[in-house]
Amino acid sequence: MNSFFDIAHVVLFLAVAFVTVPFVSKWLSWTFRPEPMRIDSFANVIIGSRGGQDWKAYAGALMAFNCLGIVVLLAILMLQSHLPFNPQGLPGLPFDLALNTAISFVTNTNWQAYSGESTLSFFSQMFGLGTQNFVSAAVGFGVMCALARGIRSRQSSDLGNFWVDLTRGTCLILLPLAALWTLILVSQGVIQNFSAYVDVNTLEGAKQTLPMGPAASQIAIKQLGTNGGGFFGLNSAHPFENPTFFSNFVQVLGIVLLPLAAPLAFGELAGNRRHGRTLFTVMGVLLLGALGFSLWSELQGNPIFGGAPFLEGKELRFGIGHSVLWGTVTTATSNGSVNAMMSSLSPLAGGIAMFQMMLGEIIYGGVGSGVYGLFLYAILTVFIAGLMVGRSPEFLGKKIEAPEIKLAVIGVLLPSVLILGSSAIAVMSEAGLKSLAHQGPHGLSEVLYAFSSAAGNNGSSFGGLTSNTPFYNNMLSCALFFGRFGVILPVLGLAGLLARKKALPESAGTFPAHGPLFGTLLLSVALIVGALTFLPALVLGPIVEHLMLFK
Amino acid sequence: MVISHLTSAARALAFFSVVFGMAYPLLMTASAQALFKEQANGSIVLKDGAPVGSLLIAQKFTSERYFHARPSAGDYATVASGASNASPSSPVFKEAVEKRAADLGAPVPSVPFDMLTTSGSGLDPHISRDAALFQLTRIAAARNVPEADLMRLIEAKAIPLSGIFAPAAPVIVNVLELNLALDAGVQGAGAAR
Repeated sequence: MNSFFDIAHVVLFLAVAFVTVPFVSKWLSWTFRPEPMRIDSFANVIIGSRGGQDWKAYAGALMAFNCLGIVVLLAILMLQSHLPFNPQGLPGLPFDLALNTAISFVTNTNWQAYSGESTLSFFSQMFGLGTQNFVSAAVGFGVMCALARGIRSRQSSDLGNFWVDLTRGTCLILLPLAALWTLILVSQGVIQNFSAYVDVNTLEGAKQTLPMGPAASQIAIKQLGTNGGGFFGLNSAHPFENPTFFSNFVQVLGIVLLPLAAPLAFGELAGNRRHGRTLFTVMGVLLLGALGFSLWSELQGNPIFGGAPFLEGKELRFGIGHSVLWGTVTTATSNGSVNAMMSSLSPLAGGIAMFQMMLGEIIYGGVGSGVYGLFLYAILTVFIAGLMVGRSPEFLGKKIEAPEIKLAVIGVLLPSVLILGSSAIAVMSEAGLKSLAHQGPHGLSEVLYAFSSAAGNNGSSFGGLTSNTPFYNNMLSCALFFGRFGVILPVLGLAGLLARKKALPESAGTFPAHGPLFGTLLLSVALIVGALTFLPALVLGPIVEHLMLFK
Repeated sequence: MVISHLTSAARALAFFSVVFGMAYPLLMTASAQALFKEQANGSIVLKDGAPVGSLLIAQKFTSERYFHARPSAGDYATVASGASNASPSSPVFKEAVEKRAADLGAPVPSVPFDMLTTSGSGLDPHISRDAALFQLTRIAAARNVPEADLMRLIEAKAIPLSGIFAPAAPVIVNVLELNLALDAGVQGAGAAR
């Protein structure tokens, strides 16, 4: 195997991706600027809510929208046999699977316990899931912008208007991008039609059924909105979903496009560009480290077969480099789509994927959610720095006090509790163990990965695990819901607290929220919290498996 | 407060569902069908006027006269297709690889590794050029055509993964395309029929 090709293409991809950042971040901060826009009045007329909202009203609107979204999607999935666009006559989903799927798409996770082509009608895919792909991404942006406004305001309680953010994010950013991506993908061979499945007689005379459907429009938004839910069960490994090397390049670019730009837009909106740049850099260091480590691990080959490449679960048309690149960025950002089976990656590459999700999806993360996730760590960082020098911490011109620290700690620790607690329950119960596809460390990894993916709202999986059981559907539904809103609500609360505070003038004693010192501290805090929490579990899973393989 | 939030939520969800859940996919389908009809409908290939498959989806080939695709964890099922999700350290995976090599009558190291492993989709339409060359002797014998002709066919259908860094790119071939060319008559194999 020629690793030059793989590495060169990863580097080329990174170069292209980073070049887009300044343009996309300007577009984002323009879209969410404080000045009113014409589209706002349109939103006000249709949705019927106007004016600024304090954090409680913003959070209330967000929760009402998401809970209603779950109920409506649940109903669509269960009743799909009575709804249009169902040429295969697929039956409705059972309650536990429908609930899991509904929560999963509303929380921007897109964990899939089913295969789309054999389970979902076109109506469920596009009207049910497709809609949530757009709006759940915009919800992430909305929370990020509300937080930025909280930092910027001076003794006010106004965090903006949730409905306006939702409308601007979907109509001005996601829709035009998705339309462009759809057409590029179709040109490469991604299908986009409403026909019934096509039966053909193969060259050897066997019957083959080719699944059909409006796939490209769904795949475009699944990448751009860090959703990740595939039209087909095997996601972007499926040739109808990702047919060429070029379509693959375009899709990975779609995965990182908005998350990469988000921290800079956040800095701009919060009135502190240097802080945005520091967040961006910290995320970048983590991503490059993870990517380098995964590539190194994969390119060694499997020692059991004399260093033969890890080709199991990979598609030849992407090559090893772009398969590892995808696996790394899809778990760094909370996308979760896959073009190779995560479970068959080399153990350390799989472990890195898991660790990135365990950190709380802060390495660029989901659209918007990566930024507010890392911001919680930033609050912890200034608190720890304040303890070290013995003065009460200030951050971005605001005094940080006990309530803020409490909210940040809840937001950081809740996902960890969900991951470790749920995994512990699963490996101690018969219902949990029955679903494992592997014995030993890889079996533990399957469970750990599932709950990390759910609590981090990622959506990828170690697919050997039979997760479409009532036990896993229900356990994962809880992790999905609390992993999303257990972070969003503390962040909005934090935004509300910060908004009401007086602005403090910068003095010689102020610890700047930017620069190499702050960046290094933030990086260390994130890594230390992550490592202390998860290292024991990771040692028993991927690390032991690595040592067994390379003994 | 709760009521007013829910009213707004209902209006918003209705509006967004119509725009993103209905208008967007319908408009995209119309544009795709107008601009890229063949691709949008699954890149289906015809032989003697009848559809025989999609260039993008692997078929199960067992005959000696055809190039075989990579192994498939779901036995080439399409609704839904399957992956093994095997861990690289799993003994089951090791046995499967060794059995496939034994079925091909060769030791593991001498078989191109893509022919011993299942793909992510279970429907990988490609094999490596090496895997095609590996099957060449068998097909030449079964079809009674010179190996040189098959070699030329493989070279003609070989595609590097990408044009950028092309000299270093892994080279793959589309199995269905190769087999259609075989059936159409290998060039220079005039007397084969």
